[in-house]
Amino acid sequence: MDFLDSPEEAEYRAGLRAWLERLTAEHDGPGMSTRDWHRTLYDAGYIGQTWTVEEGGKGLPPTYDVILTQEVARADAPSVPANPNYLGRTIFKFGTEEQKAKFLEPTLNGDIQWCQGFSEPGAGSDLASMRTRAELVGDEWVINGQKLWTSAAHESDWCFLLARSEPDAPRHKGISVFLVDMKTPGVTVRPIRTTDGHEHTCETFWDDVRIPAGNILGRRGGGWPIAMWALQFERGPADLGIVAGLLKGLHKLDAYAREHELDASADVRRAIAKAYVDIRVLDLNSVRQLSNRVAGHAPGSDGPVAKLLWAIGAQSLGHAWLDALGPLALTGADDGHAVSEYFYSRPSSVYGGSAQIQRNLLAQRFLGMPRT
Amino acid sequence: MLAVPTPEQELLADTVRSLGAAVGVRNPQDLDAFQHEKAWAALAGTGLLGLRVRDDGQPEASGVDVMIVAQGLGAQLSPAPFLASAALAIELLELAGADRPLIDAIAAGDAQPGLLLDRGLTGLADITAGDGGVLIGGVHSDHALALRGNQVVRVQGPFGPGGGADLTSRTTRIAPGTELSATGVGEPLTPEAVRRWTALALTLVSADCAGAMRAAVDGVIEYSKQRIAYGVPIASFQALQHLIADAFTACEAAVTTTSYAAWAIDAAEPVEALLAARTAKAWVGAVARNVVETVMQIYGGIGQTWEHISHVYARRALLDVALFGDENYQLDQIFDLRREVG
Repeated sequence: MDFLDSPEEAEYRAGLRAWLERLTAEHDGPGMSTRDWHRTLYDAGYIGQTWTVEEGGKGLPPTYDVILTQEVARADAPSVPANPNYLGRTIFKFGTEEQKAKFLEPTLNGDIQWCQGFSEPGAGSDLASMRTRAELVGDEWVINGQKLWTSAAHESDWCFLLARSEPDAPRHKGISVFLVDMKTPGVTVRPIRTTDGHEHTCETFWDDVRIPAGNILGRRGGGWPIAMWALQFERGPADLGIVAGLLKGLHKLDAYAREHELDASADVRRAIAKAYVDIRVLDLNSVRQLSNRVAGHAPGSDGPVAKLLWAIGAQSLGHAWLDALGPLALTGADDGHAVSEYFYSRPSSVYGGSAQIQRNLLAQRFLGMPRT
Repeated sequence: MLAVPTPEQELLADTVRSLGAAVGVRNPQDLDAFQHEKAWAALAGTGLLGLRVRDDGQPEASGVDVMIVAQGLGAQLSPAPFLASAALAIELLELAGADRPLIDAIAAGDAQPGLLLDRGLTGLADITAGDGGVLIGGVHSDHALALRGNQVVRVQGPFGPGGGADLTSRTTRIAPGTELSATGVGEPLTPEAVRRWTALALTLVSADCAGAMRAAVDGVIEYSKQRIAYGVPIASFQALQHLIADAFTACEAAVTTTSYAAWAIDAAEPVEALLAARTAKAWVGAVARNVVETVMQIYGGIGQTWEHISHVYARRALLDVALFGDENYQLDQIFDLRREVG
């Protein structure tokens, strides 16, 4: 059991760190737009590094993505884009030659930014109950419906959209994947203001959106397994991006507590230490799970365990903000920052499959407890 | 970076499992018939007692190896005091540079010292204070290890009969003001050595607790699939599924943090090793009581009886949570250690 870099990993880490330091010194890295940052990482060879050589990557083990996210967080640069790994790979696996030629390169280099059109007002954790429909009319698919939690839709070029194309099929078998240009007439994006007061995500409206018949990914009605296949890559390395963000948040809280001398209180010190423990648990869990993948062990219960620990870590930090500032937070002495952080942490047990769904999955699928 | 057990470490876990009934208990009745000498001989015979013996300054087995043994013995509710009387005793004597015969006698199973902790169970007792303490391990021994300032001392018994909450690991209280006859062993410990030893202690207690929790949860999952209520297995009730999913997740995370702490024992700087160990212990301290209570709850009526195994798990977990400091104790230390690590 080894948590330390191998010689190859150490060399990679050192090269990456030096590159990040140069970049920060020359360009003010953190100030870049999402697209520019993506392109910069791509040009330096860091995007798609863990794809197989056949897929156009370098075939590095997933632990290299751990190192990448760790070092990027250490340099306080924006997080590593997640889309190439999970949507790019999916297009590679399920796309036609034409689709691969059109989408793979720009997905990797950042020219195409994707959003994910999965959830709907009536279909969150129970995703298969979605009602957005796609109808083949002549040589075009016509899409009508509404999607919710379409994160980054306002700055995306294309959408990886799930819609019901076979209205008479059983619910898991009537869904297809569509690749939709967000500039297509009939697509409306509206930011959603979440409880923390900020606009982190969007809702999207699809009114008679006409796309070419060839923009279906995989076969008609075959979208559900494709979506599930894609989501398995959303976990893992992507979680490490979460960890990096949470650790940054914790440092911010720590600095605030020190600056305002809140850490003279034993309760405040404990609240901060507690958040540290819970975030560190999530961090180490990601490393252990990725190591298991490298060692060739099946993921088993990893997905639900990771998502449950993610929510615990995120919400522990939210609680620490509230508990550390106490009445200061509730009376606006900090311009509402702590309360905002607290509310920001709440959806972590809802999105990506609620904590309750994760518990069902864990018990029923992996611990062999029967469904009623 | 490959944070999975090596084939050798898998084999070690199998070895501990295969000792089975010779070192562990399956139900409370086994406790009366438990043969301490035989269990200790079995552990000595497989070489497990001497894992931390130094050869040319290097421990024979890594922190991860010892953690695997502690976890396995915790899962079997072993009454053999491996943790206190072998792994931690030898580590302490090695760090103090004690004479070889003292150490070799423990590894061979011929000596079984207890550890004298302070009355709050947060660490080794400093006998200078004359505050007495609590003896752990050393079930059939007439001596214990403690500190006088930074000096490791051998305290001469006898200490009186054991008792306490944990039926598998007896404790003996030494009243404040008790005259203790003690002789120094080896050289005074450096602050770094104290940190290293404390990190190992926290890690092994966390591993013991993680093993016990995981075995308790595995047991109740099986039970829930057999036990019928309202015509169906109770495992099909979502309310119970959610309790078990949370307990399972808590155990997984306990194993993960403990694994990292164990790795850090030999591979990281003392301050990082101590931070990792306190982090593992803080997590275990936060979840353990809830996990064993969940197990007792799902067993229902039978889980509330003396003859059932669930309270044996619970009692072991309760003592583990307290040993070397509970969650709040760890959190207080973690806050400062984090700033020291930077």
